[in-house]
Amino acid sequence: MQSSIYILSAVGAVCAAWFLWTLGIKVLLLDGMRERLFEIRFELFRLGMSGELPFDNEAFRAVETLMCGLLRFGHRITFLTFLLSSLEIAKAKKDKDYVDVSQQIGLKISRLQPSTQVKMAKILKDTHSVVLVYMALSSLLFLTIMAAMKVCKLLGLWHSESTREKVSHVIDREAYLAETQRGMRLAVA
Amino acid sequence: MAARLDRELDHQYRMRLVQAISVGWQSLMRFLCFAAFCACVYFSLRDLAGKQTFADMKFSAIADLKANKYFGLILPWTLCTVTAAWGAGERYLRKRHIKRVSSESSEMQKLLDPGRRSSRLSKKGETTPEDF
Repeated sequence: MQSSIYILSAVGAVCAAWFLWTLGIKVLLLDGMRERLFEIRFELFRLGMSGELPFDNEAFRAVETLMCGLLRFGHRITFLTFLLSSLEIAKAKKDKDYVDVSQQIGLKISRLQPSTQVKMAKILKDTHSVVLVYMALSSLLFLTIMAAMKVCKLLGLWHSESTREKVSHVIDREAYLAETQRGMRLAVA
Repeated sequence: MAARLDRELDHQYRMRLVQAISVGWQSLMRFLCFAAFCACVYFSLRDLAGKQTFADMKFSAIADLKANKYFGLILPWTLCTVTAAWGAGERYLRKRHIKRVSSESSEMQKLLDPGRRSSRLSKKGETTPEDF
């Protein structure tokens, strides 16, 4: 009987920890991610303010839209939604009208001055890092996979850059499209 | 135009589906956790019922602390309460600060860039109910 009480207490403690995690710490992580994204968005704004990149430039607007999408729909970024979105994107790629959002943004950035390109690339890289870290910290499974990938990278068995890009492409696409549709709805209204 | 509208509707539908599955999964996990917790309480009470001697022995052992009672019980609870209140206070102040600063910042940025997009979060930086 004594051991059964210990087991039940342990189960209870795990459940309580899980509640603390989902209702407390995860919210804090989301706030942290948004705070960092706001900082990065302000860096972008400063580029516009300095005149280096005009506010009406299409690259500026595209990255701004992406960041607004990530800020607004940040709470939806989970490992589960990432997996489901990946499956849906794999299906959508077969469509002839498929649009690769990350590629489009990259193309718009490539038309800028080289020095501005470097700054924009840094802004995008920072944005992706923030989102990936949030996703890893908010999912134990994804964190384990990331840790395993890091170990493999250190051992020279894995090239994580391409994987990182693929993950970022999926998140970028979903956030950008959701935000663009919202913009269109507002324009119609 | 019609093809574009179809694509947009398709994307919206997919996003709704993905979101519904995700929210459903999270709700199920919360329910299971709550049910497991309730089961813990129930089975613990059932096991202890009618076995007063054992329970008394256990609680006596816990209560028979060598340290001062006030030091052993009141201090941890006080520390816990103070820490929680401190955390809640810090959070309240942070939200108030965000509310003030974000309004000022976005208004000034709008003056420089009239086409500026908004994240559409609440003034306190939280997700709006329509986006859940």
